[in-house]
Amino acid sequence: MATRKMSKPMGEQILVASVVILAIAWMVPLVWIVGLSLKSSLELVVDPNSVFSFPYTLKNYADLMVTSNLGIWLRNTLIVTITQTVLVVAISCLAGYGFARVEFPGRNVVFILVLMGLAIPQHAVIVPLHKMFNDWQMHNTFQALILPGLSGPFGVFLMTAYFRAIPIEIEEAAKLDNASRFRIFWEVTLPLAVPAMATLGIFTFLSAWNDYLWPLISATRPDMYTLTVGLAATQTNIDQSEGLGYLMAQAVFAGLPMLILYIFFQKYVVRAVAGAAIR
Amino acid sequence: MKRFKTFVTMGALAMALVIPSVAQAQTEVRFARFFGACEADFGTNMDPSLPSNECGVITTLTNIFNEQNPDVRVVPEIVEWGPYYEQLAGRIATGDVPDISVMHGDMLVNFVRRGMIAPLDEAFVEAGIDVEDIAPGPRNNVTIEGTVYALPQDFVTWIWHTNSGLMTQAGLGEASAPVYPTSGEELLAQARQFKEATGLPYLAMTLDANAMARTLYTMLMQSGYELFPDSTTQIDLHSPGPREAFDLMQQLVDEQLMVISPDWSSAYTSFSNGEFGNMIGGTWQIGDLVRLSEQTGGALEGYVAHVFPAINGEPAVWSSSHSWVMLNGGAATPEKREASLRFMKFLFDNNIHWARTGHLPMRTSLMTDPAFTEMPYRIGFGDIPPIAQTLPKDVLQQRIIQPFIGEELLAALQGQKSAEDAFAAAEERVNTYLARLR
Repeated sequence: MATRKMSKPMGEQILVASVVILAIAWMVPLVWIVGLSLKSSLELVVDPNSVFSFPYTLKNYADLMVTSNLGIWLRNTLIVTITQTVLVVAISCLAGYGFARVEFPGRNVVFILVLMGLAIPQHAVIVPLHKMFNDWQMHNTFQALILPGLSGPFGVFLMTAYFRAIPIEIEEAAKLDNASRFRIFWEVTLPLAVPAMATLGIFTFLSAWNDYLWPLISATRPDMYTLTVGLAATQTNIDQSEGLGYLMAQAVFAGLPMLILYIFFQKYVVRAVAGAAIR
Repeated sequence: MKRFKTFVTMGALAMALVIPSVAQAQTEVRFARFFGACEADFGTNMDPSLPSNECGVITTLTNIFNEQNPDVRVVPEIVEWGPYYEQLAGRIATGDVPDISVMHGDMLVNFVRRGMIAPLDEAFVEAGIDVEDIAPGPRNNVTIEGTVYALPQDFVTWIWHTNSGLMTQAGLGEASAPVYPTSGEELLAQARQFKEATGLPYLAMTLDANAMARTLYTMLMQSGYELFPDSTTQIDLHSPGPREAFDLMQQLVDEQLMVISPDWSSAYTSFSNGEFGNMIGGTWQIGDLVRLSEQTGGALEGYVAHVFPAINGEPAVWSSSHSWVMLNGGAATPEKREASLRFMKFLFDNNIHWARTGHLPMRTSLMTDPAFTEMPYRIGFGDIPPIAQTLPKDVLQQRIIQPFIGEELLAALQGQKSAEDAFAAAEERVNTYLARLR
């Protein structure tokens, strides 16, 4: 018996077509950047439209690999980013569970104080932060690069909201089995918060990877530069009038880990965002 | 086998003991600079004649010095231009002071006033640097109240980049020997002639506030105008001089004899494609444009660089310098100090190589040296030192107030506001800022 194809409603077809168009629009700049990174910088000065024609070259990437401190910058960035991500997720989960489940005097006041941190931009505290780490003689250390990023009101807010949305009945079953508070948190509640943790982890990773201002003023020794500071320092012309191909290769290289990360974790991001919306 | 392993282990142990001690014999000189990082092209280069840009030359000179001085290791600490001074101030505040730092001449007084820079008069004698050979202009840039605070590296000045091929086509000179105007009237006449012959704009400027300000400075210096007549904290942009200079530029724009490129990238592209005759710019761009001309040829054949023509009075041009300073707190040991001064002496001795970037050398003896005078693509550069001028040294934060002026005038040039409003706003912004400085 032949199977009848079900045609999609018109509205859905329009929606899909719109999404495809938007996706192409978003992809065009990225494709353009990759194209520019595969062209000679000199050729791009004379004719920026040469990105659409052969020849292409990998010289910009080869030059990037030869830049002597690239490995060091990458290492530093990975250390700072991964450590900060793990610690932020851990701290946010613990704090979020506490605010969501633990009754203690002044809980709401403390929670509001934490949330007030969302209203304070990094630039407002950069001077006292710089002085504080200077007094502790901690500049040019990984601790100085990691610690300021651990104060994450957004993470606490996100995890608190997520934990609150998990039905309390799930934990009460474990309580009946005489499980400790921490054991309930670790074995029952935390596994259910993986999507939110993944989201927070991705946001934190992204923020830490792309951080420029704090590493610029805290890591002044080249062996402590992160990728953002190190790549910015390779600008060879004050007018930025040439070196476009090399600059785009830097951009692609710096953005590649983000892209890979998102490809592997995107389902968690979508699930978390969609789940939060439904609730 | 066991004996072999023991031998290898003992050998490794011996090396581990020896190598650190060898490494420790080197004195490290921390060398804070901008100019970019170009290890890919010049990371191991030892031939100073190869590079023609700032990054390549300074990287090569550093390589050569390190090789010739095995007891010293100069370690570049490279920061991008934009936040360089903010980071340097932060480093000074935290005590993480480099041994040698680059500094623009117009920034020097800001650090000297705060006691952050060590005087170098005696140090130069110690290092064998012939101060008398430093040309008056750069030496003046680094001398504050009679004390020398830096080793200048060059003259940085304002020029026209010229496509002499197009100028020849317009009947304005010959290949590599174009004719330049010597007054406002001549400028307009030549510009009109050029446009009629080629259909192209005669002149281009970039939508860069600093470029606009430097152009105005140059034109005012040519007319002998005093920008700071009464005090170094009060600029005068309301007297007739600035408006007259600006009106000349406005007329060029109105008659489509001058175009304004959105940025330097597009200006380079347009210039390399022969879309205008002259581009207003700086000496640091010569090396890049020479490379562009030589490697792409085509419409940019016949590239030459000429000092900004005297279109508003007598020959004069805005100038500045790059210089090397020793900040207080850096080079803290006698060994580091000696090594740092040795490197500075090396830069002084090899100043001619820096001239390949397009900047003028800072040594008087090099001004008449064929190694400089016979550098191609440069017209009349030997005449620049006597006419190079700076803003009054005591004007603080010149690099901050410069874009205030440029932004306002560019807005007027593009018709976004009237010239009166632009000058009033520029004056108000500069004077308000300078008045708040402590």
